[in-house]
Amino acid sequence: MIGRGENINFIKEKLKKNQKLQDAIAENPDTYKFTMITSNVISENLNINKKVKDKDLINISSQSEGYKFKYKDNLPIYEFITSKNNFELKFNNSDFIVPGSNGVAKYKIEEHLWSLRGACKKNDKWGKSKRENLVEPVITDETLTLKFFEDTKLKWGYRWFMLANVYTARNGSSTQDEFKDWDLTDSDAANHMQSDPKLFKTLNLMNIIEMIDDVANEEFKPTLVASVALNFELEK
Amino acid sequence: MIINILKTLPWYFVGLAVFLVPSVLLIASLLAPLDVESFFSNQFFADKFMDLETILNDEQDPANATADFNLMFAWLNIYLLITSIAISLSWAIGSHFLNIDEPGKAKFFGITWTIISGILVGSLLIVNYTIFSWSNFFMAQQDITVRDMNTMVLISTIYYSLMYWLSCILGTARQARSAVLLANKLPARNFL
Repeated sequence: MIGRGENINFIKEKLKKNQKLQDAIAENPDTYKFTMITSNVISENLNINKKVKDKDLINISSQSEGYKFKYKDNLPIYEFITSKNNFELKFNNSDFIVPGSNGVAKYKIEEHLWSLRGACKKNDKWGKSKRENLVEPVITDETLTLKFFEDTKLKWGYRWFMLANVYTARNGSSTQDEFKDWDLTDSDAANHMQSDPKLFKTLNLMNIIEMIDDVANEEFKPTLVASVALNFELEK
Repeated sequence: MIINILKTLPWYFVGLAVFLVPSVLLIASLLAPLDVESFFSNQFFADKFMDLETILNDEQDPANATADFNLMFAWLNIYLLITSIAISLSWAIGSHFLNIDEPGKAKFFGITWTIISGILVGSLLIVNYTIFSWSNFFMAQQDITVRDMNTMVLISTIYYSLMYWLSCILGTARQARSAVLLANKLPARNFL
């Protein structure tokens, strides 16, 4: 199905409620596949409905000293004191990716890092760091994990403030994998017909899906998935 | 015994002073504010050994970093000085109590001296690496590269070992018959 996310999901819901169709699918699940091809696979920004939770920061205990989690103008801020050198934030894809869509193949992280040398005093000046590649996104079918400072050694005794804006950089192609079984190439067509098939494959289906994906990708624009901030004091 | 110790100690202090005076002047200049004129340039070591690139990369104030570096380096020298004086003075006094007045005991004297010297060098290295790496007393330890840290460790260990060596050579129990080390061949032997 091609179209805007909300319209496609409306139709998908209707199909789900169609008992005759559901019975047929139950009998033979391989006869039904659903995908949504859209230029924007992000259903919502995680900040707007405050879907970023304190538990998403997985390797810092909320019971640890100085730990605070709060929203300020829709920006979730994690505040803590730690001696750990790297952190992980994990989000469920289902919270922000349109179900049944191509998903996201690549994210772009806009990074901003500030530091304050020594104890935080009122008139101290924060320095804007020129460091790069501070966050590494790791994508799985179910989750998006942001790994902070994996390849960066931050100095202890400093207070650090990290702001990460997570954008989509390229849509995925999970539709192509999903429909590979139904694809029939020119060269295989004769063999397929001779095999007395019960289900007819679609000639050049992958080519058609690729073309539709290309159209969707032409319309692609990076979308802000979430913005998160870490405000922490690093101990040795 | 006490008279022998008292005779030796002035020579010990002469040997010590050769290295003590520059060290004290350096410590004083490092502890002085950056804008104060001092005997040593109090930015020299920071300019030489501090990794300014990482500081500027984080847009931190180099003056603050230099002040932190100087404080760390000053305390390093204070601890090294205390260690060297404590061990060399212990030797200068303690060597008089060694039973070395018998024939053939020079070896015993030499072995003890070697062990004490080893303890000194080990102590200097421990002090150095505690300040530069193992402890969390000084943030400035992060502002030097490993290579520069090892250079500083080497230089300071040599300097304070020389302080120990010279003060011990002049201040050791040279009146003892078996003390046939280099100390006994020094001209100062005639004054004891």
